[in-house]
Amino acid sequence: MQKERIEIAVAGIGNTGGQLLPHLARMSEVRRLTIIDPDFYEPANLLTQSIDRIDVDRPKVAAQAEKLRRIRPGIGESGLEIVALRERIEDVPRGLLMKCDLLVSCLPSRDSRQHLNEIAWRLGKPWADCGVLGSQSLARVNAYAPGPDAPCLECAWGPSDYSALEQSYICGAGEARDYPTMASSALGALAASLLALEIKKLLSGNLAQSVLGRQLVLDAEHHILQVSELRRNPYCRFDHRCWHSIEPWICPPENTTVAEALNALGSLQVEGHRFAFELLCPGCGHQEKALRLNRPPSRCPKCDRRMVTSGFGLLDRIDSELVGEYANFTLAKIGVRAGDIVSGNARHRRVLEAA
Amino acid sequence: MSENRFGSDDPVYESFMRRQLEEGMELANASDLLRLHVPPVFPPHFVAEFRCGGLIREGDGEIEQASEFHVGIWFPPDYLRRVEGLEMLRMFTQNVWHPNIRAQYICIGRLTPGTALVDILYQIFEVLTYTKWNTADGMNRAACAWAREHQAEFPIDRRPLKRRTLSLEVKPL
Repeated sequence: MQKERIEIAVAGIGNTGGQLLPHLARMSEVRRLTIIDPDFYEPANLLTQSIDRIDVDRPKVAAQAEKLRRIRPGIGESGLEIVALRERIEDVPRGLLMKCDLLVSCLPSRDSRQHLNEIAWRLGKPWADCGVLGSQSLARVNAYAPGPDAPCLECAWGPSDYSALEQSYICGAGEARDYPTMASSALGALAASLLALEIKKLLSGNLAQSVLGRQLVLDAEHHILQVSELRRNPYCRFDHRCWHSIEPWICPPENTTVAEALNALGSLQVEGHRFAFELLCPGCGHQEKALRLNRPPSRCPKCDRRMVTSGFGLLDRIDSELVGEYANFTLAKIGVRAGDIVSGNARHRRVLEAA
Repeated sequence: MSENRFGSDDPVYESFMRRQLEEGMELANASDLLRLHVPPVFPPHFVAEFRCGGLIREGDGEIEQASEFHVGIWFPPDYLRRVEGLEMLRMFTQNVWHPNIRAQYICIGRLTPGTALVDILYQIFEVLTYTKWNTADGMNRAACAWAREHQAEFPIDRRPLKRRTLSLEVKPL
C-alpha cells in the first residue's frame, strides 16, 4: 500500500473514531478521508469523547469534518479531502468505498462490524477494526486482508457471538441499540493511538510488523499486551467471496427504469439489502404496497415507527417476471442509489454512476 | 458454482437447510397437530399447518376458538449470519387474535442466527396456543389488554406438539 495518495474510510465516529481522525489527518500520504456515522453528538458524549460543548446536537460527521478541515484544509497539493456520510455503514452504497485503500471500523455494534467485514471482502479492501471494553480497561486492534483463505472477523465467532448480534424488537420492545462500551475517553484515545500506529505501518508497507492477520489486545489494568494470530476457520459462516471484477455502469438512477436495468442485467440484486413488495407498521397497522429496496428501513408516514415486511414479501433479487407493474419505476424510486453495486444474472457487478 | 435444491451456492447453508427439512419433517411425522409443506419456491419457504386450538376474532368482534392455522417460514440466504425474526414468518390465517400477532405478522421473540426450524415451530405453536404471549407491549395492544383479563383460560390447547411415545407394558391378569 505504498502510495502517495491514500484514501481511507472510517466508520463509527464515537470515542475511538473521533480520536483517531486527527491522527489520520496528520498523515501526509492520506489525501482523502470518508467518515461515516448516522448519529448526532449528545450531552453525555462530552464526558467520554473528544468534543466540545458546541458540537452537542450536531451530526458527528459534520462536527468532525469541521475539526479536520481546521487541522488540514482541503486545498492545494497537500490538502485533505473530507467526505462526510451521515448514514449507517450498512446503508452506504458500496461503490462509494471502492477507491478506498483501507477501511477502518471504530464501530461499537457487532452487526455493523459484520457488515463492514462483508463489504471489505467483496471489494477486496484491507480493513482494520478496533474496540474498547471499559469495564476491563481493554483496548483491541485487529486487521484483515481479504482473500478466500484469509481469516475474517467471523472466523473467530461462535454461536454466542452470533447470539449477541443486535436485534430490533419491532413488536414493541424497541429499536436495536449499540451496547455502551463504558469506556473512558483515555481508553478510547489509547485504542485510537494503537490503531493509528498500525495504520501507519500498513500505509508504509511494513506488513510483517503490522497487526495484519493478528489481534492486539492491551490490558491497561494489568499492563499486559497480547498479540494473537488469526486463523481461517474452515467452518466460518461467512463465504469469504471477493468480487474480482466490478465494472462501471453509466446509469443515472433518476432516469433509468427498472425495465431498462433488467434488460441490461437480466436480474437485479443489491447485496446487503432486499427488495420489499409490502410494508406494515407494527404500531398503527398502516400498510403500503410498493417495490422498494428496504434501505434504510422505511418509517411509517403516520407514526414514524419502523415498518416491516415478511420473507414472503421480500426478495433478494428481482427479475422481469417479478416486477410487473413496477417495471416503469426509476431505479431511484425503488431505492437504488448512485454508487450502489448491483449484481445481475451473469454475476457481473457494476457500479451505478450519476450522469 | 451452481445453485442447488435450496437456491444457494453456499454449501454451509445448503447443508443447514437439508438438516432443517429432515428435522422438520421428522417432527411433523411425530405430531398430530402439525403438517409441514414445502412449496416449490426459492429461497426455501415452509408452510406449517398447525391443527391446534387458538383464537380468532370474527368481523363482529366475537372472539372464538379456531383449530387450524397456517404460518409461512422463510430462511433468508444469510440466515446463519444474521436474522430479523419478524421478516422470517408470515401468518396466512386471517383474524388471528393474539398479542404477538397483527395482520400477517407474528412475533415469537428473539431469534438468533441459525435457530433451527424445529425450535421455531415449537415457538409458533406456543404462541398460537397462548402458552407464550406478550403481556404488555405486543404488536396487538387490544389483544394484550384482552389477554391480561383472561389469563385463567390459557393455554388454549394443552396437547403437546410432539406425540409422546407410550411404552405401556400390558400383562395378563
